[in-house]
Amino acid sequence: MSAGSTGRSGVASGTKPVLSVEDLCVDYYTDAGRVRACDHVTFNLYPGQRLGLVGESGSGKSTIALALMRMIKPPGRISGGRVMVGDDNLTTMSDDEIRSARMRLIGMVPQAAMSALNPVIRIRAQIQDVLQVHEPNLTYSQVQARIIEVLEAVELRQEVANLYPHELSGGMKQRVCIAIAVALRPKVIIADEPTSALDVIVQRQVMETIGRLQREMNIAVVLIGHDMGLMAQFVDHLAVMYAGKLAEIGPTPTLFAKPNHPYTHMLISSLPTLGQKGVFRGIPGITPSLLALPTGCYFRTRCPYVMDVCSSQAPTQVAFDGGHVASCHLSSIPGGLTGRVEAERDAEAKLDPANAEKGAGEAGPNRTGGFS
Amino acid sequence: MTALLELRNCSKVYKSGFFSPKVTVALDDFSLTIDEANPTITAVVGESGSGKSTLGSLLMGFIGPSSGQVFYRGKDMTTLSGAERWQFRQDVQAIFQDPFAAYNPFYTVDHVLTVPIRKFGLARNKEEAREKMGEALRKVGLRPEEILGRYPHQLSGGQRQRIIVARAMLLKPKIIVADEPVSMVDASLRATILESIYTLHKELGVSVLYITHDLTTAYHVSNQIVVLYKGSVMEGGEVSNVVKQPQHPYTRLLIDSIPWPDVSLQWGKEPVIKDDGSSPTTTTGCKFASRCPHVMPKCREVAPTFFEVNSQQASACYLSESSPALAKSDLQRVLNKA
Ligand SMILES: Nc1ncnc2c1ncn2[C@@H]1O[C@H](COP(=O)(O)OP(=O)(O)O)[C@@H](O)[C@H]1O
Ligand SMILES: Nc1ncnc2c1ncn2[C@@H]1O[C@H](COP(=O)(O)OP(=O)(O)O)[C@@H](O)[C@H]1O
Ligand code: SF4
Ligand code: SF4
Ligand SMILES: [Mg+2]
Ligand SMILES: [Mg+2]
Repeated sequence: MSAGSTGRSGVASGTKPVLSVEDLCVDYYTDAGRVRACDHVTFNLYPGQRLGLVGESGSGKSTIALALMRMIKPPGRISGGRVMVGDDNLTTMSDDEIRSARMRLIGMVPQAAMSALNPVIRIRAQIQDVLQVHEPNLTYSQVQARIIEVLEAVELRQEVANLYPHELSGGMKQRVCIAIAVALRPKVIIADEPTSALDVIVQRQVMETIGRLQREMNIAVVLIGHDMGLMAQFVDHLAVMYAGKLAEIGPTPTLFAKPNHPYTHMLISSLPTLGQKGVFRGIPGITPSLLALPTGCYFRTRCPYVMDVCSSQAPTQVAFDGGHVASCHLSSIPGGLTGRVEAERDAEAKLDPANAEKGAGEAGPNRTGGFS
Repeated sequence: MTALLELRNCSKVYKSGFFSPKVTVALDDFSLTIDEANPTITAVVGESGSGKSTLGSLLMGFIGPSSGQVFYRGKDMTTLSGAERWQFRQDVQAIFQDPFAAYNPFYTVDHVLTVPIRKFGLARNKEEAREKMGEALRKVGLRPEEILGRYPHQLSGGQRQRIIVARAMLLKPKIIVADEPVSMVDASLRATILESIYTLHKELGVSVLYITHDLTTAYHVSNQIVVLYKGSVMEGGEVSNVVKQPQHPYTRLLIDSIPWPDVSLQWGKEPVIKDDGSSPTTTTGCKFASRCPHVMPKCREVAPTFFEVNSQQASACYLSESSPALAKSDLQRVLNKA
């Protein structure tokens, strides 16, 4: 089995989304003022789909995850929008209703979950907790059977139930967290940077397991992360966040082949590929503070293609074919982002024709991008 | 010519647990030479627990080897005089994973730069100190006016890490040991930090030992690479050779597991065999045997030596047995050709 086989499937028309997020806004109230960490975010997730949510740290990814679970704690709150799972509106549920819906409708592997496992409680009891709270009618033997079943689902031996977290490797701990997330057979799971702390081989094994659960249980997956490589290999749709807003969303192959937002383009080219040894393309500058956002487009302080209109007007979402949406003023000028990138490449080649021949095999990095 | 720093057949063994001590060979018969005349960036790659930090700590003199020797400018580290130690501390600088862990969060970041200036007498007056700080910050791509006077928490992880690089730059070291310097920052910000380390290498002729679990950045930044597994070198050589034509089954597995940012590449073709624990770090056989798809009976008995698969690449695996054998301590010869 390979980790990369997403079983990318077109969504049949008429299929209803399993998760529908509409104009979701989340605000945190801090001493220095209100920050909007999730700003009118809209997307749909269809049964069995794999959606990636990428962005630099602080862009609001975990905020979205917590908001989907209605787990934003004061002084933060959901200040607008809706979250629907099937026909259930999570945003209007009472506290009791949401407690029972959580984990049953949406399961979550929170950020840094594996280090949050209770160190003094055996794995069995940690899984049992979730089952007993949500399915109080299960008998003792049914609960035990379910524990074995979910451990098997994440490829752990049943003896693991008798161990404490410190007796497990990082990969095994993360599997336990995934087992807890799927224990109630939700339709959606959100995994917030599940493999950031793991070595590359273990990462691959854990992602294979998540991929298998997605296929076999037809669970839709929201994978949060900052590694475009992992996204390229795992998700079929990709949403790119910047300063609380969705910069771009669409099918993964489309975003990689023809991104329509400069930030997406830069995220992709900031990563090393096998063909381009030694080419560093960092993204200049840093994310603006949510307390002091620039006027117009939030990305304009770092955007190499910035235009006059970008400081006066915030770009609105423009829809392209195939469920591809981007928020950038370039979409309304001829040639769009692709035209700009090509023009830039031509100009670079003219300036330094030798550049065209450099590349693979080159011993040292050559400076290509703007570094702050 | 005497090397600046040399590890000669170094091993580090830890015994933990009081009643039934568990023995871990954290580093096994490891040799490496760092020349002053010909600065390089050497990547040491391996998963967690493979002995990378042990190697880094040996090089920085934080720990001593259980067997073998560490030489600084030709002198055994254990016999350095006070003045030589002082010189060593300026010549060999470290960049760690969590750059500000060792600093007081209540000091502004200026402190990180003024302390070494004072301690090593790098400036005659305040004016000159400020100038030096500004210059170092600009070299790593930071604007001094955006950095000086700030507190660590007001800066991004990428900025903080580059300040540490700037600090190292001030001291004009000969060697930088960078232990996982980018593993706590976003993938998209790693490029700028690595670029600043690279600048340091180019402009000041500093050798860098880049310790990482991430083969992609290792490939990107280094000239030569050493792949560690359970304390032993599995493969080493010129980085493009090793990454593009890995010979050792472990290197192949590592490379196959990298999720490249290219939708046309297939991730994870080779199956991963779980470690059944039959090849502990203390084994006399090949340490990868318990996970190797090609394991043969002899692999479990005697660990293979290096085989020079080409002039710039050596693999410690019997699959390369038809190539000329190379002694453990001669890996450097292959690395030097990179
Ligand atoms: N409990 C909180 N109180 C105040 N601000 C918060 C809180 N949690 C997150 N934030 C802010 O919201 C923004 C988004 O954070 P987060 O959702 O954690 O981003 P990500 O997961 O993308 O790193 C950040 O600027 C962060 O400082
Ligand atoms: N002080 C110590 N005491 C006991 N064991 C140690 C100590 N330091 C490291 N080890 C062990 O040595 C091995 C290598 O560790 P380390 O060099 O930190 O690896 P890495 O940096 O590659 O993760 C590991 O098995 C680790 O548990
Ligand atoms: S709207 Fe303007 S500043 Fe923003 S990403 Fe597009 S071109 Fe760049
Ligand atoms: S020596 Fe044997 S066990 Fe070790 S990597 Fe080579 S084939 Fe596999
Ligand atoms: Mg987060
Ligand atoms: Mg380490």
